[in-house]
This record gives sequence, C-alpha cells and structure tokens, in this order.
Amino acid sequence: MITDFLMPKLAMAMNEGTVNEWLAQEGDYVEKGAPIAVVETEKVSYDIETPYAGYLHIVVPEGETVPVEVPIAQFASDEDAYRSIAGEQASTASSPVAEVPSSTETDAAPQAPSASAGGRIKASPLARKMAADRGMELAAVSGTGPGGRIVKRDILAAEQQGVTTAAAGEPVMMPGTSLEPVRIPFKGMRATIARRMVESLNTSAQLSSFWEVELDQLLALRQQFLDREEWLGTRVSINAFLIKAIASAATQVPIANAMIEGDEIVVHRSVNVGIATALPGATEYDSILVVPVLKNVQAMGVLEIDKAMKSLIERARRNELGADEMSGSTITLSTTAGLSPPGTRATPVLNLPNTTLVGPSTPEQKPVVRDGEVVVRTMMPLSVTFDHRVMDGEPAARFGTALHEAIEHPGLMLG
Amino acid sequence: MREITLIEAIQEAIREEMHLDEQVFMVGQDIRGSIFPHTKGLVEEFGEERIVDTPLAESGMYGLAMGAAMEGYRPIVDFMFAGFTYVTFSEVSVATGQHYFLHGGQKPMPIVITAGTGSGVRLANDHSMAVHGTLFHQPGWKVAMPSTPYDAKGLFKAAIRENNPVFIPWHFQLMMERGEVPEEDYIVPFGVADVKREGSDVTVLANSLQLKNALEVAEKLEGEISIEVIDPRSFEPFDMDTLLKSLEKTNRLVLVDEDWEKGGYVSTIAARVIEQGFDLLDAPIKRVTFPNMPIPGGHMEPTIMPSPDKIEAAVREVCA
Repeated sequence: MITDFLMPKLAMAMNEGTVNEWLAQEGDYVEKGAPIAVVETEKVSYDIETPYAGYLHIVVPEGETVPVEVPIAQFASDEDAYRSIAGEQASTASSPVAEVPSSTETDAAPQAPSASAGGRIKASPLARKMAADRGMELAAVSGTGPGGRIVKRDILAAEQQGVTTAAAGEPVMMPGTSLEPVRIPFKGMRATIARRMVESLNTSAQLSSFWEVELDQLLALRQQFLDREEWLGTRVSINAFLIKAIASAATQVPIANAMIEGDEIVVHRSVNVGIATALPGATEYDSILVVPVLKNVQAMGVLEIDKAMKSLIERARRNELGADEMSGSTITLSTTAGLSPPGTRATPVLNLPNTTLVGPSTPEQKPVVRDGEVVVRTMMPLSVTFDHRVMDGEPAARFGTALHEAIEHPGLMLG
Repeated sequence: MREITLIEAIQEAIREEMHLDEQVFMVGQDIRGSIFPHTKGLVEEFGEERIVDTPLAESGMYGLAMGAAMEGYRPIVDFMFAGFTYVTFSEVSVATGQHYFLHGGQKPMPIVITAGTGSGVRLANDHSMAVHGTLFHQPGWKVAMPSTPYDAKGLFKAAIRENNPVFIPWHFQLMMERGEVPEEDYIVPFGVADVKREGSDVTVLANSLQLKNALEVAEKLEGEISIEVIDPRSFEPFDMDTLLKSLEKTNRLVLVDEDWEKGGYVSTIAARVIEQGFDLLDAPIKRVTFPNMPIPGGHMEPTIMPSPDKIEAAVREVCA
C-alpha cells in the first residue's frame, strides 16, 4: 500500500512551502512520528513529523517549493510496494490536466438555410442587424453556428458571394416571377472605377492599335514547362510569358514605361506590371475591377512571375492586398483571352498614369502565309493603347514590334 | 518597481489612510493579534483606540461602527470571513445602505466592510461564501474586489476615502499573490474596469481568483482563440462602457463569478448587456458560476467551483 504525504498547511496564510531538508534517506524505513523533513514558509522553518510509517520515497527534492497539499513524499508499506514506486523516478507529482471538451468543428461547407420547422430562422442579434443593414434576406443565407444559427461570419460570406439583396422593403425576387429592377447604389468601388475611366479618357490623348501575333512558338516553349509541371511546382500560365514579353519590350523601348508626374515625364527603369483583375461586385449584376501590381518584372523569370501573379490574384479575390500591391504600376496588362470571342480587337482604357496598356484577347487558329505557303497558326489579337502625350507613333510602333518579336520568338527573351 | 503581496498591499492602504485621516479606525475580531497579515503591526502603530478588538458579536461590532460613522468617524469593519456579514445583515442593508436615502442625506455613512472570501481552500461554506452579489443587490452599497496587489492598494484607498458605504472583500487564494505596487499614494477609482488582456474573439469578464484563471485560459488558447479579459474591479458602480466597447470588437461574452448561479451580479450584467448591446451579440451570453449549493469543505470543492477548465469550455462554446 502506498500513502501520499502532502505538503502541510502550517499557517492560515500559507499557500506554498519549501522542502529545506529531508531528515531521512530515500528508501529508509521510518516509524510513525519520526522527524521526516524541515519545511520552510515565509521565512519560518518547521520540523515535520511523519504521521505514517513506511519506506520513504521522496517526491519533492530538497530546495524545491510546492503549493500546499501537493504530495512531497510517499510511504510504502512493504518493500514490494516501495520498489513499484521507486522505479518511477521520472513521474512527477503534478496532477493530470483534465480533458477539455474539444470545440465542435464547424465546417466551412454551408448547410441548408436555417429555417426551423415553424419557419423561424435562427440568427444571432448581430447577424440580423448586419443582414438588415445590407438589405440581405436571411432566408438566402446558410447558417454555420450551433444548431444552424446564422452568425456574423455567415453574413460576411454571403456578402462575398454576392447573395441577392432585395431592395429595401421589397420581397425576395423569385426567378421568373418578377421583372422588378435591381437597384445598386452607385458609390464605393464602382463610383471610383467610373471616375477614373472618365478621367483617363478625358485627360489623355490615348489611342489603340491592333495586330495579330503568332503564338505557336510561345505555346511550344510553354509546353516544355508544362511537361515538368510537378517538378517546377506550378502550371505556368500563358500570361506569365506575356508579362515577361511586356517587360522585355518595355526595357527596349523605355518611353513606353514612362509616366507624367507633375511637370516631368519620368521614365521608370523598373517594370511594374499592373494586372487588371475582375472581381465580383456587391450583387450578381455588377462587378469591380482592381489592378494589383507585380513589381520589378524585368528581374524575374517566368516561373517567378507565374507564382507571384497567381498569389497576387488569389489575394485580390480575398481582399487581402496591401496598399503597395495596389499601386505603383508603370505599365498594365489587361487580357480578355478566354473571355471574349476569338480575334476580338478592343480599345482598352489606359490605366492612368501609365502610358501603355497591353490588351491581348482570345487566340484563334487562322490561315497565314509563311515562306510563300498557306499554313495554319494560332493567332492572338493584341490591342495596345498608348498615351500620345508621352509617346509618339514611332516609339509606339517600336514598342509594338519589340513586343511582337518577344512573343513570336520567345528565345529572344533570354538575351 | 518593488513587488509585494496582495495582503501587504491592503495593509499599506489601511496604514497610509489611517495616517492621512485621524477619523479612520478599524474594528474586528483579533485584528490586534492579526490572524491575517493585513492588520499586522497596526495596533502598535496606531494604538488600541483605533485598532479595536471585539468579541464574536457581529451585530455589536457593526452597530459600533454605524454609530461612529454617524458621528463623523470613518470605520473599517473586518468580519474576517465575508459570510459573517449575514449575521448583521439588517443593519448592513437597511440601516446602512438605505440610510442615506431614508434620512434625506443628513448623515453619510462612510463605512468600509472587509473580509476574506473565496473557495478552493477547504474552509467550507460559512468561511468561503461569496457575499458581493448580495451586497451588490442592496441600494446604497458600493462593492469592489481586487484581483491584483496594485488594484488592492488602490481600491482599498478609494474605499476608505469614499463617503458612501463600501463592501470590499479579498480572496484567500490571492492573499500571497505578488505584484508590482507603487510606493506613492494612488487610488483605483470605482466604476473603472481594467482590460487585463486584449483580445478579439471573445470577451471574458472575471474578477479576483477567476481573473487569474481567465488569464491562464487566455494564455493557453493563444493562437487559437483570442480572448479579451476584463476585470471589473468594482461591481457597483459597474463600468458598462468598457464592457460594451469590448463587445463591439468581439461580439461574444463569457461572465465568470465564483458566486452562486442564481442571482449573482453577473446575471444583472447579462441582462444589462442584452438591454444595451443586443445587436452586438453573435452568440448567447455564457455564465461560469458556482452551482446552487453550499460550498463543500472536502474533495468536491475544486471539482465544482469555477476553474480554468470550465472557463475554457465556456469560451469554446460561445466561439463555436
């Protein structure tokens, strides 16, 4: 049998005590009432006698301080019992931490909308207020709180996904039953975008030129990267190559990378490419446009560009971009490839204060003449808008040619 | 800065206030012999007329204090264990707390009641009972409790200087807690809560030993759940502004109190939060309190009293 000997509470005000000295050795047999230890608390020492007889196993060594009622020694009634506890030198006297009931994991997967059998929707007071402020119908929101309760994070998630917001006071629009117009406040991001578009068209002397570039060599080069996708850690996009080509052309024709700043034209030597990115708007009807910036592209390889670009766009979608990632572009890429019909030519609006914007669109297979023969090639339309206040036709043409050459003969970019 | 224990901080406050104002005196059982360290050395310093030992007669000793208070003295009544306040409860609640209102403000009663309180030290029901909820309920009484040595000195000084009756107990398990306490004179005013730890996911209101437990939980869950821990420091007056401001940030509330579940002060705070901050709540308000039963004196005590485990479970529940 084994008996715990606890640090005694020797005074009303005592919370902990120090074992100054053990008066018997580990393994000694002690009689009941024998002096066993000297314990100190608040600068007063007390000689402690043991209320138990037995083989002594020391738990708290000399010099250590423990709270009152913590076992400082154990007494074993016989040698077998002593051996069983003396062997556990490593075990400490601390009590095991009670298991805390773990929190119920709430899935990100939305459940069905939270209306109970009686039709009442469970939502926290905060969630109700937030929904009301946003003109959002709770019936359209899935709840992930306990019991399917709609909580704050559910309202925010619904807002992100552009849950239909009915006009204030009007019922939820059921598909096919109503032709009521949807009213979207013309403010915030949308208003800012509108203002900047008008400003760009009104203050600059922008015009666009269009041509087609043969993509086959670039696609073949890209295939070499795709074949090694796992090893490279990314599935390189065509845009990464196009961005690299833009950097190459901007380096060759630096005036395309210039900007009007006050009363100076500043020719930037770093090529910071703004990447026009479409994001969902407040509703399913509108959208917003942001231009995150990839900086110092002239110093980056295609792989690096690809990874950085994808990270930027992903974080733009989650609204996690820093201020310096949203500004500082010197030239812009705005592509509609894959979205617009094949062969689309456009007049994309300049992203002021940039001087140049490169706007590729959806490639198509076309017959072209090469070396006197008609062959089929993948032709991508390129629309390039430039600001004639800064760049005249001749340098604009040189930029276009540099870009064209870099895309059609991508090996040149190794130079 | 020097570190002293909570009980030493209380002693320092009493000593300094007794020096500052000759009307302050203390009455209690065995305060000359100092059962608890906060009265140690006081009779030697201030004399037997100002440190008054009484027999085991709460009504008598409290009546003495009331009469003295009405005559312009500033008594500190030490019941040693908070539960013994109930022996003279009529005098405490009606004749003191309501006195100022009932008598048209003619005779202020600058009485301070103090005592030890708190579970977890096997002192059993009579000696561990929480009384602050009951006094909180009585009109006219101000109620506070320190959680740190710094707050102890400041709150006790505020209590002694307060012209209204003040009930200010201290927790046995915090008695020897050490902390930084400035040597100069300062008060911690009533009605000002202290954000002891900032956080963003949930607000935990806790005091005294439970504040220590709450901070332990906040430290443990750091990185997983961000807990803002607020010490009310005074229950009446209560700093509702700090609590609501915290809820604007966290939207979730856990109230911790060692008092019994029925009718403890946190029940009132919960009701007030629903009245004043309904739209801030993203989850129901959770209280962590002592079950509705007498405080056991044996092995059951640590199992049923509020603890870090119970606070953690409540936090996880409101954050689900």
